[in-house]
Amino acid sequence: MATSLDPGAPRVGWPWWLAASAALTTAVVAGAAVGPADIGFFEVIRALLDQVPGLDVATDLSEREMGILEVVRFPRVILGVVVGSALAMSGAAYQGVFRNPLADPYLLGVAAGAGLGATLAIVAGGSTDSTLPLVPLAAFVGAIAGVLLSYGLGRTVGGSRTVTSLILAGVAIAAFLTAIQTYVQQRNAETLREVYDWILGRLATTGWDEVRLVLPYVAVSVVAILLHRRALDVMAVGDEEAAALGLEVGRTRLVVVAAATLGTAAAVAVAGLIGFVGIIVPHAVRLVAGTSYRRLLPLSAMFGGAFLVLADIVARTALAPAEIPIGVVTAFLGAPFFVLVLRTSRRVI
Amino acid sequence: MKPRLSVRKLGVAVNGSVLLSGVNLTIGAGEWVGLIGPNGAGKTTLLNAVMGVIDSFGTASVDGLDLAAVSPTQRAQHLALVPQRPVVPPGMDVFSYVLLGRTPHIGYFASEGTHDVDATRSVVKELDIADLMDRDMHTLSGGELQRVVLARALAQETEILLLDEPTSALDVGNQQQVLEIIDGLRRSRGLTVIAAIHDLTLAAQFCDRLALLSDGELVSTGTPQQVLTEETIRVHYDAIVNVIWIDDHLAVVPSRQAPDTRAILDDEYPPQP
Repeated sequence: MATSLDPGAPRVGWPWWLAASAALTTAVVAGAAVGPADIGFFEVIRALLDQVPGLDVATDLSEREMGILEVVRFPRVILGVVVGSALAMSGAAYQGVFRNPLADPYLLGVAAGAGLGATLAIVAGGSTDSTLPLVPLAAFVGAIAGVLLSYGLGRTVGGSRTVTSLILAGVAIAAFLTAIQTYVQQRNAETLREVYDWILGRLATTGWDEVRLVLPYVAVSVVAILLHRRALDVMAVGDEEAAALGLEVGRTRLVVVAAATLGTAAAVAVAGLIGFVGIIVPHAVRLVAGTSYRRLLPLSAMFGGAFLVLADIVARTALAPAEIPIGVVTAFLGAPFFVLVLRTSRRVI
Repeated sequence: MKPRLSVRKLGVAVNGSVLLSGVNLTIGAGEWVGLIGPNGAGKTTLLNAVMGVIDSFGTASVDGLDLAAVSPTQRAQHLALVPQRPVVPPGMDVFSYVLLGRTPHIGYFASEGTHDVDATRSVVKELDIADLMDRDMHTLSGGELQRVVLARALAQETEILLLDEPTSALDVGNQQQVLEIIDGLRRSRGLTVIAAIHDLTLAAQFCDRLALLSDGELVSTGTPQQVLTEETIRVHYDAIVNVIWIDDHLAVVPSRQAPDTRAILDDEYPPQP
């Protein structure tokens, strides 16, 4: 058996930084290059470099092509990166604090709460196309409320240390909120299509508005979760042993769930319910880079962003000019992957 | 002997049922006290209550410091626990696992520094487990796992070590080796050891004193010779044993009784009035 001559704390090695950066860059360039208007890869790279403050890179693009990139494609691609990163990192964080490989960012009622919020807003006359962000706001509030209800119920019935009671509370609250959402949706059949479109998820942008709306919340979420990367490694030994090692388990779980919820709620508010990213990406990273959260969290964020941008390319181009909802694409790729994860779960879970 | 750990009127109740009550115990610096008692007597509960991972009433103090008044981090700087059935984290390598023992010495948001890595390497060397460092935790045998979990506890650099059945899953060779390692560490590091031990012979051979728990209460404390009497074991374990001396050590040997055939027949066919 080979022995480490110099073992140290787990960290992201440079090969992984390089691979994740390459994946993210490739996805961003491809996402910006692919579309009805034909813009070459290298032109996109030049245009991207030109966006960097202090760099003045000449491009051969026409004013119209630059407009397409700056107003349509870059915002959409960047939104994909932000939403994908938030969902993947939140998924990894949820899996860590609940020590449950099947946990996803929607575990504690985020999706059901957001779905109800968005449905109520759409029924009340708000539109997903409106510049007034009523639907995103309602979805955001609904998502946060869903988790608050789940956490409150879970603590009431099982105390702050009982993970199972929290998860079951999440299941109960999600079912309850979904029942209300379905009822409201059914009573207002004329909004069915719009609600359905929202639920399936999409990365539609109107300029940079959505990115500006979501970025501050996702940034706070990402930073807060990353700060807990070592605490999440400690929690891998279970609540009692983590407590014996000096970790305040209940507080850590609460803070990480709050941070993950903030990021997920913001992502869901602008992009709808995009499934599987929070499960596929962290598990893929675990399979290849190991289970330490020092690696898992940053790599999940980077690969999550790349994955969602690539999924969006498929959504935009597979049946062009029609768009497939991105939630369908991620689930289409996610379902077979999920089976793979279950088959290899002895090794990775 | 200077008192190190002092427990006063310690009790635990869960959902109205009392698991432990009124335990008073003082353990001196460098002493090894064995917690013995039948299944369900409260040995694990006592260790967990002292460690602070379950709610309890009464007081536990280390060198006069009330453990209820300090944070979990400070508590873990004084006490390290080796659980009976440690959770084996998926995909974690052994060195990363042992490094977790440094948690009470690292800031909440901080990462391990050079000192933490050095302290961990030192423990690894002391326990002679360097060849396991790259292994996945899941690939360890029972004996290897026990050493690795012990290493994590030692990496905490505490003055008190709480061990919950450290040998229960091990064969007789590994049982002896692990207990000898603990005894060596106790002497080299001046550790105070409290260990729940099922095997009464091993408890008698390795512990300075024994504390016998029964139905959540501390019923007897003293040297192995004082506590381990055939009568005490019959009363609290409902077991018939012979306590014998082998080379200056006590050994508790179960004594199989011939079945009382008449009593069995009487049960099956009660005498007619």
